[in-house]
Amino acid sequence: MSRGFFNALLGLFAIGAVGAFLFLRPTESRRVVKAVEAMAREASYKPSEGSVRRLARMETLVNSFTEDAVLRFESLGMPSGVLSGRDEIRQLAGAAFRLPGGLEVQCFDPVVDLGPEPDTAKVHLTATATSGRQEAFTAQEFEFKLVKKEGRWLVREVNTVRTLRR
Amino acid sequence: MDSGNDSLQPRPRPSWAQILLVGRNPKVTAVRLIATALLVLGYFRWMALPIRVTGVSMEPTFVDGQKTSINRISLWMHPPERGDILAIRTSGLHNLLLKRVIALPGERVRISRGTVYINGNPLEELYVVKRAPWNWPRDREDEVIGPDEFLVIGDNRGMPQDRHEFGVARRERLVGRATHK
Repeated sequence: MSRGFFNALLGLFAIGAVGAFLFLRPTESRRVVKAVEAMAREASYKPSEGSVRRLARMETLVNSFTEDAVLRFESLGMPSGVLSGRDEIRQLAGAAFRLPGGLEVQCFDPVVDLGPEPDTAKVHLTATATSGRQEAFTAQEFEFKLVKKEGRWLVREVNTVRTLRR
Repeated sequence: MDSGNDSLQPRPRPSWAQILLVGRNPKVTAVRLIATALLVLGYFRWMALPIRVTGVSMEPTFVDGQKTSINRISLWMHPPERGDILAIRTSGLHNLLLKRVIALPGERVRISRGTVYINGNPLEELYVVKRAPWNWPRDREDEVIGPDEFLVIGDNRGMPQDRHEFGVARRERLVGRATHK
């Protein structure tokens, strides 16, 4: 291999390394996405998981919301509704953590918009949920509004987004 | 002078192992590999986005688990037409909705007892096998489709209306046409 070719490869590697650093470094947007992804992980559980573990997951999940968080649902085939505060969210989570087939929640394509106020962010994403052997039901778009409190990103509002206007 | 004489000497023939791994000329092989990878990536990203159908809303045209691809450049060349099956993006491309175009921009549309009416005329839909008595819109006479909008519905009209994702898609959400037989 000639020295020129080797240098070119080295140059490409260096550019790749700088690009990877710039792409992977923990920006505020990335922290927001990680907070939302962590919620999806906590909301997911296997049917074999015990009730204590499920309870711990549920509490972690509920504590990802602010005390006065509001969730507005208008999903296909489900009654629309509004949940206000952690207690109501805990009740919904309690039902979700009792599914016999377990639950797997995944978030896709998060689009983060920081601001306009300091320490606030909006995330537009698509979430899917799979329970047991059932395939993922219709993917649902959501808009999460988050606020940074004591260094942690907490969700203060969740709204469903209709992909198709009715 | 010595170096000039060296360059005239024939290069040693590469071993079979080297030819198998990196070819006779590693530089050319590297360029070919990179070009092929870019072409493949570009093809599957921009020309034929592979997808797997989930759900029953497009039956019988597409069944649950069926694999197909989305032609993304066809929409650049030809605007959507009635009857086209389009992929509609959500917040990104990981999850797409697959629906058929029923009404075009500027048209008045309504669904009455399962039959679609476009500008007052019933639409013949040979792809619909089962038909439940859907009614839409429920709160007004007709829906007028906006200038950059399309009414899209799945082919499975036998399922309950409230369980079927359909409605008006904005043009910016259209990803491409589904390829099917």
